[in-house]
Amino acid sequence: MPGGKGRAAPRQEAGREPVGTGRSPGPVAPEGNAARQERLALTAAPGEDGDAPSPFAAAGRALAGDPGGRPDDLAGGAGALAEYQAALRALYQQADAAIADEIAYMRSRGVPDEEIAKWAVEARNAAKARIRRWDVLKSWAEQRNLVKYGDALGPSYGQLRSGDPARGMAPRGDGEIIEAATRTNRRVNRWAGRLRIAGRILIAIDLAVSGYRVWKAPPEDRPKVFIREATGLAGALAGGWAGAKLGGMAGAGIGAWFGGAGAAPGAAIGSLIGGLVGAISGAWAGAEAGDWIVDELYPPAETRFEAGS
Amino acid sequence: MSAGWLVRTAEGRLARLVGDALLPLEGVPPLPGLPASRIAFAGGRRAVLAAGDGDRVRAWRSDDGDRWLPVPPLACDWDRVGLFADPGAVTCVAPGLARIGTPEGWRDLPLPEGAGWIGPGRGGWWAVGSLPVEGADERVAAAWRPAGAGRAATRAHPGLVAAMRLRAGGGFDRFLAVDARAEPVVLASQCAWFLDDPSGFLHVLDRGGRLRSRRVPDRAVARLDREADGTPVAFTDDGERWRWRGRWRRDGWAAGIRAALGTAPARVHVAAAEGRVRALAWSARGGPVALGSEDGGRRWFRVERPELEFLAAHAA
Repeated sequence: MPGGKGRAAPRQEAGREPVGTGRSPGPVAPEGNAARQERLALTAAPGEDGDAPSPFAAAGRALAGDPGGRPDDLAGGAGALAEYQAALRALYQQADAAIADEIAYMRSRGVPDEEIAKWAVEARNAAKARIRRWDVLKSWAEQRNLVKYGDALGPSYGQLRSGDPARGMAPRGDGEIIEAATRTNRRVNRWAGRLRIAGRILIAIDLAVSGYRVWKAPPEDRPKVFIREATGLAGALAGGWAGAKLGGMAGAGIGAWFGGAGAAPGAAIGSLIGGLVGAISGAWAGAEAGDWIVDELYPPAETRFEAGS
Repeated sequence: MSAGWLVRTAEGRLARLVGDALLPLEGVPPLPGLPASRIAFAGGRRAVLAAGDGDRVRAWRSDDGDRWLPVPPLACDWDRVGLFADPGAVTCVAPGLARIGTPEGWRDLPLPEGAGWIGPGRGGWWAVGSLPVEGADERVAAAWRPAGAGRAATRAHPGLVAAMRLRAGGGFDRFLAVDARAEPVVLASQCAWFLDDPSGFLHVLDRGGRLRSRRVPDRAVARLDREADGTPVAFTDDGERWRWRGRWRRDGWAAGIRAALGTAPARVHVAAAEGRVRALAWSARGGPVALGSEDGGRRWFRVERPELEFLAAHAA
């Protein structure tokens, strides 16, 4: 559970040693830039950091491709959901890069590999906890980890090191664990990139269609059409997000009836179905809400007909 | 030997539990107080038992399961110890050097750079590990054949396409195990980003050097083995058995184990012999639970002997 296992926080301030390493790595090097500090803050356990950025805001900045940018394009149904997921992945990769930097620094200070490996595993799990709070498609990995490790975030250092000599296989040493902590799933990264492209295309289509409808509407109706389109898009986004989340939970529950291993694929299938149903329902509900707002703003009773030619 | 379990009595004595019979291990002293995680057992053509006692490893070997001969104690990190029932040896692998222990004593086997583990082969011990990739901050899996005087020196080259495909999937970072006792040679690896993806990979290297690989999703390879006719067999940590018949096929043991355990296991140690299968299963919440099957792994039952501590399953 997030923070439940005493997740470590990394070096964040001059003079502060990495938490969880058990001993000081020695004098701390000059601080890096603000962006690096932000990335490192992602590896702090939720609740232990007062000033770490929220993944949502950081995902928005990652979306904009600029650490200081604004998430202006974070809007619109399935496209936005796809791009949002891709941005979260980018954020995860940033956290991983920060962990790699920190490992290099700790090694340069002569910190023993065992302590680096412990910190790296905890930092990775803390980054997962922080980012997955916002991730609607996390259910599959979480269910698998719950079954396999008893923790939704993944294995602990102790679990990784508990080998069985009788199996006749090389154990996971600290060096291998440290290396693994600096790597993220290449396939997922590649798909995240594709998702981002697909998401941007979908958003562009959504916005273009909505813009066309607004433009085609009579001038006096454009505010109404705009409200309806905007609420429809917002509804699709919110519905997709909530649908995927609820669908994942329901799928995991149903899958668990078929043995523990059914929970993970159940969650994945549930997320997909829930996301689709949620996006469609959300779009409909958003449009209905838009109609209601339009009726409130422009009551039919107050409609006046203008004299025609 | 028949299929059964290695157990420890309340007095700390080790014994084999076969059916209802408790068969003491003659020649093995009581090991009271030693954590179960520091006792390892491998059964096959011979049986090997090891105990991590402080910073030393103590080991015993038996040809019949009853009388056990001691291997001289050796200073070795418990994490670096391996047990191989065939040929009946305990190993201690450190960078650049493997030490192989039998009741006759220990012998040294120099390892090539990058080798991190060894496994038995027909012409001697094979070595597996990884080599750095020129111009990249990466490593690629490698295996070395024995090349005279017991030295593992000749590198086995898998195909370029296979290597590229596997590297993209994270399965070609380093080999973790090798079984070269017969053709084809079997190798195992684990996903390079195992903190995100615990999947394992099974590889078969044929005489021509062609590597055929299979990813086993969300489960790690736990052990490589052979059937009596030399058919490669692998076990994954969910208790599943995989057999090589031109391609890897699963036997469906994991489903039965899951049903008997009532939940998906976190780790399973399986031993099989002639339709009689024994297993120890750990769930994420604890364990182990002793499980048995009399029909080749289809249906499993729990074995309740609360007065005994179950340490390992054995087939031979």
